[in-house]
Amino acid sequence: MYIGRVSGTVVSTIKHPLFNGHKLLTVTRLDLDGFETTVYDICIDDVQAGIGDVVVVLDEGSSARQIIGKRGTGPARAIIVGIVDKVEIGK
Amino acid sequence: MKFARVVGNLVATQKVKGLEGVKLLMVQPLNVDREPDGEIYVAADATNQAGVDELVFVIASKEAAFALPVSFVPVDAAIVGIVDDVDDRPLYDEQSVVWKVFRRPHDDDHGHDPEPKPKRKKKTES
Repeated sequence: MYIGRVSGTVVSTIKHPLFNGHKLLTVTRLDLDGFETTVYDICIDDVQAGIGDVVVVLDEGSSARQIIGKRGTGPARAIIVGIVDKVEIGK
Repeated sequence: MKFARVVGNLVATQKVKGLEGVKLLMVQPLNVDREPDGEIYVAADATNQAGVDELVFVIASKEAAFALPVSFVPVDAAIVGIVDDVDDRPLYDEQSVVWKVFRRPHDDDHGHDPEPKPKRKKKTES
């Protein structure tokens, strides 16, 4: 899992049926100082996150499919699993 | 999943069993701002409706094969959706959220912060 910031909403009509009813958001990965990196991912949103929110992204296929209730096969991989309130590193 | 721009078609008559009928397209990977980023590669089209110049999103690794009609095929990238629009307008001062989340405890103890924080807008007195 990694920490990222939601940077946009993806609107798509023609898509795999697995994504029907799920919000797709672009999440830019943050480094441990809170700065944006160039790494990003289009994630399924399951926690009602919005643009600007700092979120936790789970980047693992079978867990993501379990969360959205589609066990077995399906092209789901990255999923937002939490909105971060605070990160404390060190003392 | 990442953004990609379809830049061409690929024709292959001899394909692995299970890949028959699957369209193969050349795609240019894009960064989060939809600018070209990286080398062009081949992706299978799971939507069956993507065409040249279209903005799509591509899933990589094992999940790519899951998007196709036959699940266990040798594919490592698949187009799973066509992007109509990306809305990335900032709804509020998004940087201030990041700074609130990543503020370290010792930031409050010292008189100054190691990194400058964006200043919040002062309330106008009526």
